[in-house]
Amino acid sequence: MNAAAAWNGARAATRTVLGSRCVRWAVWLSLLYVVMDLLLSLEMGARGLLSPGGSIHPDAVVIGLACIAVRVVGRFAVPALLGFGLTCVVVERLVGTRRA
Amino acid sequence: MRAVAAFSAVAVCGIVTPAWCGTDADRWLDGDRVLGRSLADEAIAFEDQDDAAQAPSATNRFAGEWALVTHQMTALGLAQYCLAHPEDRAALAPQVTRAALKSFRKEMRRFGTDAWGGEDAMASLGGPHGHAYLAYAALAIGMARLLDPAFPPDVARQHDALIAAYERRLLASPTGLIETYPGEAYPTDTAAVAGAIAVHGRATGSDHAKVLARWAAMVQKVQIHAPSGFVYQRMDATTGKAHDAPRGSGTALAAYFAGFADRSVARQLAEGVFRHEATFSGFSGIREYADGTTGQGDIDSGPVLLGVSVSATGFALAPARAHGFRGAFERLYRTTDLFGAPESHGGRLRFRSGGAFGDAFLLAMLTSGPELAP
Repeated sequence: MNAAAAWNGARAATRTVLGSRCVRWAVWLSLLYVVMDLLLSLEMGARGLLSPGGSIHPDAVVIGLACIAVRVVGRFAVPALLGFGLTCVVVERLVGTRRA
Repeated sequence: MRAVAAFSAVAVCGIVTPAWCGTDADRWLDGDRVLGRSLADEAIAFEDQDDAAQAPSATNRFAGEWALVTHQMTALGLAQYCLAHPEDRAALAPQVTRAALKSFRKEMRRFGTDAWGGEDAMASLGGPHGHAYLAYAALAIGMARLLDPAFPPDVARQHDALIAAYERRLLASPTGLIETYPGEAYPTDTAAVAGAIAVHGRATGSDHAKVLARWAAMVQKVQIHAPSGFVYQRMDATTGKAHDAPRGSGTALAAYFAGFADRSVARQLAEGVFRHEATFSGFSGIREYADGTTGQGDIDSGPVLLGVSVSATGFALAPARAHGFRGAFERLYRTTDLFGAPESHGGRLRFRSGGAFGDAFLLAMLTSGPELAP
């Protein structure tokens, strides 16, 4: 198999996989996760949600809780969406091949 | 097809998510030097910033407690790391001393002095008042004396006097409890007193066996709520009457402090804590209240979500690691990773949600084990 055929095969496979709505959701959620993770790093620095004296940093709490919510949802939802979407793609292919 | 895909989604989520959040759990359990040092360096960096900032002393009780505990936990975490990695001891022992000395500063305990109507703990060593909050600093000072041959002798003498006062008060107590604030005794704080006394014995060669044996007996007899395995959060030091429910946050931290003084008491408390582990898909947390008791979150427990306490979950990492509850440690660590959001930056590790306070606490909890009493 030459490089061009491999490239075309990879593109076709990517198109097929991204054709799944679940996989597209997983990709968007992953992007949001990365952006929010970056935001968390920038916002928190070494501050955290609370100071060493126990007082709340209100701005950090708002942004931090949003970032952590995306982190929690992302870490559960991205693998689940990928698992669901890829299984659908594989099963559809298998069923399609058998019917053909 | 959808049923197969749904099953696949649940299976992938059940495998990938815990693995994703638990990548460092085994490294912490195995005492990975690089990982431990990266968090230690973050705590040291905070102490450097704190020196530069020279923050004013806190007058609010909770703010003061948190500031004292941040320095104390930094000292304890660094000391435990040194005991596990003696090759770094020469470099880090002065850092242990620096953090411990900060926790022992007069202005750092101002919240306790105010609570006792202006009576300073170090100016009233001959008196009957417990001032047990200062045991947190005394424990850190003891660990610094254990590790640092250059520990300042004048502070060592003050520490000797404080430990002698604690020993006398604890032997005189009918409940094995001494007061933290007027009318308020906390088994957790008294466990810190016992730990401070024990570490003082290891650092100086003094014999504290009698007082420690009495404290251990009283923990069993008075302070543990047998049906739950938790210690009461708050009690009367004279009568032993409970002023609060038996709770997870106090018990988990007491299990850590008790480890400095008596392994068997610490293990018993740890077993009590892990009876209240709530698990979900490879993650877990510690419930704040035992069955039959309810309550709100407070300064000790942090937020209580679905019955699980943030503080109890974090504190429980220490007894899980120290006493070999490997599975529980992995589950708790995954939760800590998920919500703590650790990040490596410039060769250092920080938990972004917790800030300096969280980093100091987690350094102590994640390196717990070498400090256990022989």
